[in-house]
Amino acid sequence: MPPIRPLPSVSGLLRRAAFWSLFAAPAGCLADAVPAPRLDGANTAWMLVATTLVLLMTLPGVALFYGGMVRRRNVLATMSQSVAIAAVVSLVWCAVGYSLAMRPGGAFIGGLDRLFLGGLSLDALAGKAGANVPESVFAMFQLAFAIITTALVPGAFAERMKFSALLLFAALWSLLVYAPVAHWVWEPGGWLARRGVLDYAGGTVVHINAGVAGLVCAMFIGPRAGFGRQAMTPYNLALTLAGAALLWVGWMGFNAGSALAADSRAGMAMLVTQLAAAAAAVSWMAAEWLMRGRPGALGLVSGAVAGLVAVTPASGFVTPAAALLIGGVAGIGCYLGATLLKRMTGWDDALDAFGIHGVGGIVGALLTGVLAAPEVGGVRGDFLVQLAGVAATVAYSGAMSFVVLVAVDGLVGLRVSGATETEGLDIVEHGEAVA
Amino acid sequence: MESDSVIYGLLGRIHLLMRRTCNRITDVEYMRANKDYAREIVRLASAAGNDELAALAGRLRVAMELDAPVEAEAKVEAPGLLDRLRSARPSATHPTQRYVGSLR
Repeated sequence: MPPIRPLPSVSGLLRRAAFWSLFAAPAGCLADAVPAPRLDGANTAWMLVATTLVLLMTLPGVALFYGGMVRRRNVLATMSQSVAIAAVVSLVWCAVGYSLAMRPGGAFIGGLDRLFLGGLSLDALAGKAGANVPESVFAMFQLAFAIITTALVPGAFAERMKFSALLLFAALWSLLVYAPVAHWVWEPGGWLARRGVLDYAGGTVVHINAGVAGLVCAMFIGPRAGFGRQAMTPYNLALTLAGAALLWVGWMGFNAGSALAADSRAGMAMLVTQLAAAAAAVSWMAAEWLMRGRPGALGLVSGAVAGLVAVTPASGFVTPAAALLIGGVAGIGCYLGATLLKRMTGWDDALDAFGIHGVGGIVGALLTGVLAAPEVGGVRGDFLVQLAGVAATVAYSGAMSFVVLVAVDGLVGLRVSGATETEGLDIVEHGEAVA
Repeated sequence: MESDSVIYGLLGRIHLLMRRTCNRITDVEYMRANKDYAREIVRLASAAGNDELAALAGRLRVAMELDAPVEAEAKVEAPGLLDRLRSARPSATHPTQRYVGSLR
């Protein structure tokens, strides 16, 4: 006689019903059962710090760096430009820049799904897959890059552009030049990214872009009155040294933060950044000692910045030994760019935006193609691909910057009057002066 | 050496006259701080063809004792490589030429 099975209890029936309902449920319900990616606290904390460091590079890094190099009568105007650019670019980034630069869309420009940062919710994640960093932090980190890139350009046309023109130029340039190039290189669907161009932290997007735009600006606006005939003595190189020190420290967030996570690659990026800066400071110093007979304080920090620029595209791809090579080459290359090349061409790139950022960026981008090590970044570099990326950026940045300059010149006029230039931008444009 | 007030008085008048007569801008603070630069401006002022400017340049030369250091520096020998490099390129670091056409 078979054993008599007891009748199931009500709770048992409910459990069985729940079990079988899993198999009968539609696919959407199954997906709901998979836990959503959760924010990673460690990565997010590092990215918050890195973002602050990158912002510190402009406010007050670039402001001090540039402010100390201009003549006394233009100090406030030059420093104000960095602050104003930070404000203007932030607004443009919020309105449309972030969406066009960093969101999926076409090969050449991003989508419009984040206009005025709409759709950027508290829980949205972005950046490196698996790092699980909030999109708000990612957008802010990228904004700090857009700010410093635009703030580097005025170094080329310092002491002669109207403040109103600068505001308009910053808005248009960050939108029409920076955002597309950032999309090409950093958004996975961008056409340069798909062709394998390596730019870890912005050698192409930031430094070549800003350097070439600066050079076009300097040529378009023309030299300062007295350039090549009068000594244009810097106001206070101590400010420049302080600014450069902030840049150097902030660059750790710039390069190591570009890992978009607190991981071993971020650590390696930080180490190679420091080594390249040190190598370039020494090589620039040696070149200057040899050529000029003594090592200048400005040369020392310029060399460090040159190394930082050059290692920027390579920082997540190269070994420490390669970083030393990149820094050594960049120090000498940028020294020649800021002295010999400048004297040969006669262009009044006032604070050497192209001589350092343009030349350093190109040196770094090309050397990344040669020195990228698979054991660091998981990819091998290709010199010709890097060259194509550099050429595309130089061509687009140069041409579109020219278009922006023509537009701004037509709307508000670019250059201050001769009288204003003699009197100084501080007094005429801002009604203030340093003591 | 004269007091700062006397020297700054001379520097200010030279600055104004250089601007009016030669259209050349001078850096008063840097002249006070750097004798090489001051010597070069004094040389330019003396050669400008303006009597008042030449007189002021002469007074400044005495007030800042611009002649004394030149002799002292000339006596310094350059035994090492770095010193020889430096002495071989005096114009490359001279303040009046250092920032002409190039910052670095």
